[in-house]
Amino acid sequence: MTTVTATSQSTLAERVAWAKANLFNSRGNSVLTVVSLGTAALLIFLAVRYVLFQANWGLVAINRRLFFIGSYPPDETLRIWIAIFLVVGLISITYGIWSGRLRPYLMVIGVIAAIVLTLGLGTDVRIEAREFTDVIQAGEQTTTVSGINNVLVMEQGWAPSWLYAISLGLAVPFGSTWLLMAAVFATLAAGAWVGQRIAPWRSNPIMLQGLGALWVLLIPTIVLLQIGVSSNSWESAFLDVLVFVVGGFFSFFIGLALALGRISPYASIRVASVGYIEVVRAAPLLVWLLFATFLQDELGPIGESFSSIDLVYRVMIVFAFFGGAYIAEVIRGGLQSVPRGQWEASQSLGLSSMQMYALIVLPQAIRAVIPAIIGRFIALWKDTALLAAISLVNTLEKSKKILSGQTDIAEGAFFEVYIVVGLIYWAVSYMLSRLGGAAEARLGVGQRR
Amino acid sequence: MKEYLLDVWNHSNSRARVVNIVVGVAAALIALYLVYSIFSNLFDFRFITGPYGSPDRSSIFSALEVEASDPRWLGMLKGAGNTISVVVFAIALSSFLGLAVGVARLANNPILTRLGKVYVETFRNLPLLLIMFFFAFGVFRALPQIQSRTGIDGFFYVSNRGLAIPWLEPTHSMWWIWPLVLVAAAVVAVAVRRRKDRQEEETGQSMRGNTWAAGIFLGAAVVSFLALLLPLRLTLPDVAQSESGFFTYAGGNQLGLGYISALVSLTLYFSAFIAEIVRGSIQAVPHGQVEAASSLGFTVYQRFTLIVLPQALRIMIPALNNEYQNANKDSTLAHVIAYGEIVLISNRIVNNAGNLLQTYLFIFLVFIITNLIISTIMNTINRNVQLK
Repeated sequence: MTTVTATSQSTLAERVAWAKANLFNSRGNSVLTVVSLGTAALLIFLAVRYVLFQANWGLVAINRRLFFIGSYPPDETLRIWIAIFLVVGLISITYGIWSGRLRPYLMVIGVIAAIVLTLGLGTDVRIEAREFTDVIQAGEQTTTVSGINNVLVMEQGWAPSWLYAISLGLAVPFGSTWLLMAAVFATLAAGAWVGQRIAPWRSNPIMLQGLGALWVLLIPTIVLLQIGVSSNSWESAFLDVLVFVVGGFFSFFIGLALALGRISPYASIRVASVGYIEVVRAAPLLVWLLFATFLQDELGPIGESFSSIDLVYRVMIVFAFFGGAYIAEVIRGGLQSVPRGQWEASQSLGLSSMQMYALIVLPQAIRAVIPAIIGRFIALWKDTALLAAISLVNTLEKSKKILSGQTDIAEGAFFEVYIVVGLIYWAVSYMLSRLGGAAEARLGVGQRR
Repeated sequence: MKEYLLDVWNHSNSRARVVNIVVGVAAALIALYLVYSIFSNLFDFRFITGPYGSPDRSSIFSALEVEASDPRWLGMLKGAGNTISVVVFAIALSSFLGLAVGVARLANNPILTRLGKVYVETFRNLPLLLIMFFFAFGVFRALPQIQSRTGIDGFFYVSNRGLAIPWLEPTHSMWWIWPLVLVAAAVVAVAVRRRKDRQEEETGQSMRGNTWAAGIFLGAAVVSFLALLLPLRLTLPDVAQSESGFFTYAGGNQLGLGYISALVSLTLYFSAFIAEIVRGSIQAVPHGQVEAASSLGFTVYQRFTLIVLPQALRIMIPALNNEYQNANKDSTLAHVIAYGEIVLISNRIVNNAGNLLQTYLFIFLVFIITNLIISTIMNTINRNVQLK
């Protein structure tokens, strides 16, 4: 690309010069510009027209709760809110400590908060049973059919319907959920601010280790908060997150152990690790999940006791052990990237092998592969969609149930439902991939040639 | 005694022996336990001769449609065939699409680059199963009914039952000789081209290797097609109405919703990953190569096909190998949308006969073998493109 640049302060002449240099500098490029501009314009036009004017977001609005927590007992939702506040608080503080730029972050939070908190004020969505009578004429005979139809009734609040449509039906009306959501956004903003205040001490080992400990403790806390709630009522996005968080957490440590096992000085451990990794990676995750679902007494007493565990926990175990095999390969790459001299130096300093790995080798090895590990976590997050294939009600399965269970109001509205479900999966993966990109840029991993 | 044990532990040789023995015995016990429990069930292989039970018509090849009377082992083999018949096309289509998107992301045109980025970021961050659900339970269900004859009349139809496309139909039972002749002709053509290329390198005269190869292949194809008395003929689809008033497709080939949804979703999903691999590999080619090619007067097209792409291929192929194996494994998701691939067939057998370990061992073997085939092909290509 040529050096002519255009910024928001550019004059019209500069912009025209930029366009001439980059978009219309040859005949072929001009054709490309016109074609791709046309495609982009068409796509944007169709998307905007659909989202603002054609879609029936009332269907999403009335099922909002089902998308996120499904049939979780309403009296117990406080447990989920506490978990959300812990996660959000820790994420925002960590972000504030490591990112110097608060303004774009606050702007994104502000825009999302404005959409979610203001557009839904005053809207009321409900299903009303309406009587109907139809006169059917077949030949000579006329039959009168009457019955009750469920109709989705939506009363708009202050915002006109097209403005409300921007939120895809996710904007909340005033109530306890509204207040809690407002508090979540406030925490996101305040946490980042606090993080930036304490950023000067980020190299202080006490703070670093404290933050690390909080992160490690977070996952058991989220799980412990669920004690007393039957695992049958874990559903939808909450189930996906739970399986992802628990599976991902343990898969890291299993992967670490396997990676170290692969380079162990003892041949037997090496062979066992390689064998495990290769066997697990040979079959698709779905096959392992189905196997864990179907297994009864085929593998003797071990299989029997495994099959007596709750399906959700079995799935978490499969996720942890499956993800571990992949993360082991990633960490192995990191271990190979640590220069030989580092190992030799730590040995010649008389460090025990425990000290060598904990203090010298692993910090460098894991640092080098953080983006790749995040890549594995993204894959694991997307794999939680597979729970739909084994009769667990995750977000995807819930969307199917909404579409097939509410045919009177959801007839033909699959687009709205899949857009929102897709957005839930997409948003988490995209945030994780941005995190991976940031880590890559910060650690300079991708820069070395 | 205690000192002796410490001595054993502190001496690296004896410690290695101890650890090896302990771990080895533990691993052997676990393996033995698995083998024992597998074999206590596994010896019973009688179930595979029983009838499969229910027909499955989701295959695109009539030979791979599972009949109710088929023995279970044949059903499983046909399921494996159905897996392969979606994976092969998905890999081919996603490679082309991925190459196009990957190159578009590096184009000199900022709008095209953005479009490519939006495409990649959309499909890379969505779960494959969601894309499959979207097409299978959404888009294709919402298509018009079969009676409306949507499509190109007499040639191609699209409806909520799937796609109907023109297809080749065997005219006699010996038709399969023709594809074999084609493979043989291709082998000969490649050998001739290689020889011509070598002569060209030695003598410096143009030997027209490509023309020769194409001529041999096409000539053999046409001659054998005529010699075998036209083994295949083209059939065009049509919408027909049965006596009881039901509409069906007649002629051509019908691609069911399961197959089409699986193919489209796998293609879109993996093309996004392949696009990223292509982009990364092209960017990894040193910029000096591009500049050198430009200063030698190569056109943009020549620069790309003769200088950049061959070097990018070297970097690309190991990553593509990985992605193709992922596509192969992820094709199992298609069983959720009722495409009769290996897992769907096996699950039905498990439901009917209950032989979980045997059927899943078969799935396992299918994926080990297919992944081995993919990686063998890719490694062969890799050896050919590497610098020697």
